[in-house]
Amino acid sequence: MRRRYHYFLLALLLLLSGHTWAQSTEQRRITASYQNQPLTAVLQDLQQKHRLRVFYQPEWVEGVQITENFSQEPLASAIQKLLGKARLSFVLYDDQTVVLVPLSAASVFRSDTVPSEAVPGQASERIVTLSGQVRNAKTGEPFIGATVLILELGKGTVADEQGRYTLAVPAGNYTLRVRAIGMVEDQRRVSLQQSRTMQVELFEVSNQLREVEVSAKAPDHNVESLEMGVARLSIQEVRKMPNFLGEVDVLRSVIALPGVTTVGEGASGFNVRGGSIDQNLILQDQAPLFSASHLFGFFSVFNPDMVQDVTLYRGGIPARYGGRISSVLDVELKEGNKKAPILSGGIGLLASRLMVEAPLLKDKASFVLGARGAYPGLALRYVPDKSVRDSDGYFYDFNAKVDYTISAKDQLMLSGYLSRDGFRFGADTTYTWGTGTATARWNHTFSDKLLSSVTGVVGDYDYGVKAETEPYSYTLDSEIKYKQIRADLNFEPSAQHKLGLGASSSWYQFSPGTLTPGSEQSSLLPVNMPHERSIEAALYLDHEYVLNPRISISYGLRYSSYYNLGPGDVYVYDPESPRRESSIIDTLSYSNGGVIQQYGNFEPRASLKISLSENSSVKLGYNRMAQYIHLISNTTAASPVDIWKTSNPNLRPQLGDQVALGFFKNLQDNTIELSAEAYYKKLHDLVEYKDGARLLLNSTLDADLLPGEGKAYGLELMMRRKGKKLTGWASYTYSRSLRRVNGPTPEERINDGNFFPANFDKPHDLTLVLNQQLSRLISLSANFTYSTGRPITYPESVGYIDGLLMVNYSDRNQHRIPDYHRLDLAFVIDGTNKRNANWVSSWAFSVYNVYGRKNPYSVFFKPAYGGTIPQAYRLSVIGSAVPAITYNFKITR
Amino acid sequence: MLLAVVLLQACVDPFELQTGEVQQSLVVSGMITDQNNPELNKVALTWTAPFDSENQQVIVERVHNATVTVQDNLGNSMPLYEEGRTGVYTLQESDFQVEHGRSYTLHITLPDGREYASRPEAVRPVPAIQGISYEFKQFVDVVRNSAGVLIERRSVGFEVKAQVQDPPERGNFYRWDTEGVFEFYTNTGDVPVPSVCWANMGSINTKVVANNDRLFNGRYFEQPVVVVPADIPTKYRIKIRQFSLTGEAYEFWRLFNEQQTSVGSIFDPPPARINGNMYSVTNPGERVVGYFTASAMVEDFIVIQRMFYAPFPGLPYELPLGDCRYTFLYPNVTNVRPIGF
Repeated sequence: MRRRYHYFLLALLLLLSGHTWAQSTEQRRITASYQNQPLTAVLQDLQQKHRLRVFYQPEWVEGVQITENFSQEPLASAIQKLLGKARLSFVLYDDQTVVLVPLSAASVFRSDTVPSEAVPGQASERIVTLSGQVRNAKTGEPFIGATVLILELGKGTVADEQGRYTLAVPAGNYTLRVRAIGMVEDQRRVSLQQSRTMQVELFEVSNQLREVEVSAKAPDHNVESLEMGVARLSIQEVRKMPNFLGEVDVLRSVIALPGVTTVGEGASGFNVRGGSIDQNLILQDQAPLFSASHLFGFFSVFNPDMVQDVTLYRGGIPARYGGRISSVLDVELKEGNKKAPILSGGIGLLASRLMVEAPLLKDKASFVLGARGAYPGLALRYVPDKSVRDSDGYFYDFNAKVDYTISAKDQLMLSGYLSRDGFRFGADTTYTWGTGTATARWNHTFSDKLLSSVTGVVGDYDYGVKAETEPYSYTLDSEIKYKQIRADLNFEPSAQHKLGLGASSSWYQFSPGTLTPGSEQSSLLPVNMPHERSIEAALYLDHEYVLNPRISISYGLRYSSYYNLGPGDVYVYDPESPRRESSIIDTLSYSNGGVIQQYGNFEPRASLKISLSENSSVKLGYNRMAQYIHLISNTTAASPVDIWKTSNPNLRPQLGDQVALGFFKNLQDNTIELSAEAYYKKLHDLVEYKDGARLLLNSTLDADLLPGEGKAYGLELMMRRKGKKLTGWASYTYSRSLRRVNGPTPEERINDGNFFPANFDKPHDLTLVLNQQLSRLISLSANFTYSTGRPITYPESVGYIDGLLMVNYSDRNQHRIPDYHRLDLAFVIDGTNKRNANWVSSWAFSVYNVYGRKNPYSVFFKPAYGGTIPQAYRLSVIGSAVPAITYNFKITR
Repeated sequence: MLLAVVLLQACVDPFELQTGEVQQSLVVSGMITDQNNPELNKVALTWTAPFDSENQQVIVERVHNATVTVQDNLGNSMPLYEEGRTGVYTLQESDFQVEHGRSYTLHITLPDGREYASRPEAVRPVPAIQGISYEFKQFVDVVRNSAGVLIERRSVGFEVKAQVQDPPERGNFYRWDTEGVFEFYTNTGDVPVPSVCWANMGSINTKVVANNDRLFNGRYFEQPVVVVPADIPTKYRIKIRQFSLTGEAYEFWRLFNEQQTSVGSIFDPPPARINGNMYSVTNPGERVVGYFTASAMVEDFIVIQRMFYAPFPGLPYELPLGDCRYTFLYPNVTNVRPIGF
């Protein structure tokens, strides 16, 4: 605003006296010699020697050096020469007054004498910065990932978590284009003669439930950024994928990305680049979650209405993340509308949801509340099996988020999440689990170069089983409590350097199981597994450095320090014999707060980008991660009641090293992205199990766990199309994930100490995700996936033991179940295409598993009585096409 | 899982699988007990058969002419002799010397010279059976009918439970086995031949029943052992044998039970090889299947008066015709009244 006022004054001056071109100044001649002097000094010199007064803004001339020789040069031409480099012009107001004018402003008045267009390529030496914020014009929400592009330079950036962007460019006149998903593109002319800020407000396109724009990134982001192995999905992309039972699901979309697999339908969690499911750090508004699934994996914990943006780091994990060795799934929830209240929701066959958002203080503070509930009991009534009819289940979850912009420099965010799941098998066993988290974050901007954020998280995850049949009635409860505090500083001294520094500390308390007899009649004894406590502290520093436009590097170091705290007893096993309950030779007791075990790890991270051409680059990355808490599960898919355990003297932290090499190329004006990434990983101290180990309520669990090592490698090829009508991606992954358990005694080896495929090792994986806009209101999307069947242990022979047939199995995971493939289709009809309509609705029809393939989840063998060989059976979790219909709506006042 | 359950019923398909095994392994199944009863103290030796679900019949190849001995930790040795050509090696009553607290090792030498041995097994004490109870119950199974449609099949039976008082010390491991004997009548008309007989079905267990006191140490508990069929309205004598086990033996039987009850669901542990306590002396890399158990044993029986619960669902029961000893409907038929009838 101040700048505009300034121009206004200038214009006024000119209009008042524009005709008084003083001839006397024209005749003044200058003789001087300047060698590499700052322009300010030169102008100072002129003012003194020639009794001139020169008016200008200091930042216009900042950093401009002058080397010039004048001999009897007319004053006007001399000044012109001096200013040329700074892309400034001038106006002689009277014979003593010279007013310097940026070229753009000058062009308004003197288009005949000064070139009015910035010429690309003819770089001025003056670098200015353009910064600002991209917001939704209607709601005032910032746009994360909006792309800000200077067309003439082809230079762009992406708005950060607060919608802020900064671009450093040579001074000049440019066309600025701002795009964000679902918003009308904003294209405007900007004159950048000095650093300035510019707020951009975007309007929604009409059919906002299903946006046309796909990319949340700068068009050339995948080639230009240092990131590799990073996938960012906007919720709009997630929404467009065909879904299961009409439920938009974040995790399901993540699984469609290259390098991500799951053991099968209905399995909670996902595997990234050969890692187990507990090796993924899942963050929702920075709060770590221990269970990402509702209803045993058919829904994810993320309410799709609430999600703003999903980022999966499977390689190149920044130093600010730690604690898990395979990946980071960072889910950021949206901020409430700061302009007007909105009610939205959806009604589906299995679950419904509702969301309210409204301003608390207009343009300053807002809240958003989301709720979901599921009623699968309705569907269960139509199942022939009585035990299934007697089953029942539910889940509900609530999200709440408040945003408060205290000042231009301070922002406060509070976010809370509460969920509860329950499922009863038959009339007897009930599983329940629930998560509660709260996050508070304070962002403070010291200057446009230095930003800070402080975050506190409190969380609780509890899970249990209840059985009611006498005499074995019981309840078994487990719980994890955690608290986390972290502080991050971001410093960008120049466009070439970016520094990040931070520290975090997490506190955990695990209650691995408390068994309480269900009634007086129960013959069970109460069992109380001792609590486990630990603290994980970390410090990190990273630096991103743009050496030159072709090469940039980023490197960082994280140091994590882990303390297993008392009170607690630790068993000492005889080092000479295999660990068993009987080989315990001593028990060490630790007092409250005493350090039972300390571990520390340096975790270096590095990546390098070399641009090969305008739109292709090669990237190289390395990272090491350490993990101190472990999910203890030996079932095929993790169950929601599997226990978590913290490292102790007998259970070492897991370590993972990854190197990756990637090639990225964009074609056709960045609408087609090609990428190829290869990785190799080594994993140490993985948790494996003795065959048939019993994990629950096992006071000598350490003795049933075996340390394993792993290696994983793969090649991920991806082609992604971003455009208007046809969008989507095709990806092919070849990957292997192998494990080895080679202990000192045969009992502590698996498969004689040889490498064997992990449960989720699926070498070939092909995914196609396509979305075709048929008309303005109708779109069709399809999703096809193919993967190799997962490894399984097959029977080799049979023999009779005590009159009963026993099956002898092969070595672990030496065979494979049949290959998996599936096609899903979805058809979405929008109710309106009015711009900024107050009532927007859409119908989504989808069919999951269109051709009804019975993809086997597992193969098992049921021995039949009476001397026959056990029959082999295939279990398919979903064995037919599953159609669904969902109605979504959004009401704005 | 909810949907897994919803849709699972339609999605379990049998399929054929053949995984031929390259080499046959020796299968050892047997035990010695503290009771001097050749019916209990015996070891059966067979070879594994390749897994071939297409060919529904298992052809069991027995191991003949092996030299089998059991040694205790004091160096005493007891020979086991093959009865005929059955592959079953029995401890004779005259050779019996098994005592609590000792540990026993099985040694096998095949005619071709290959030698096998078990790790030592201790005979642990076993508490008495306090009593046997039973309950007449309805069972519901979902099965596929001939048209491929899932139907509920209701059946009735007597669930039999052993009542046990677990000793106060920790680490008691149990296994139960059964013997079923029932009475049946035939219509002999006027012919003076026996019309009341008893058939001995041997063990009627279809699954391994084993338990431990990990969760109810020192308590009184009821262990469901078997379901006696409710098919004909006559008396049924069910005998329960309760064996003590070592911890290692219990693990073997527990894993065997899990293999029998696993339905391949997503929460079942993946199937795995079950290792026993037998090993090859001549070739340490060779696999030997099975377990040699040493147990203390107690037994008790109860007679279920099934006629009080009749009629049972299904076709009405019709008496077979002729001499009850020669109907060939049931195995081990005798007209000598057993104890309890």
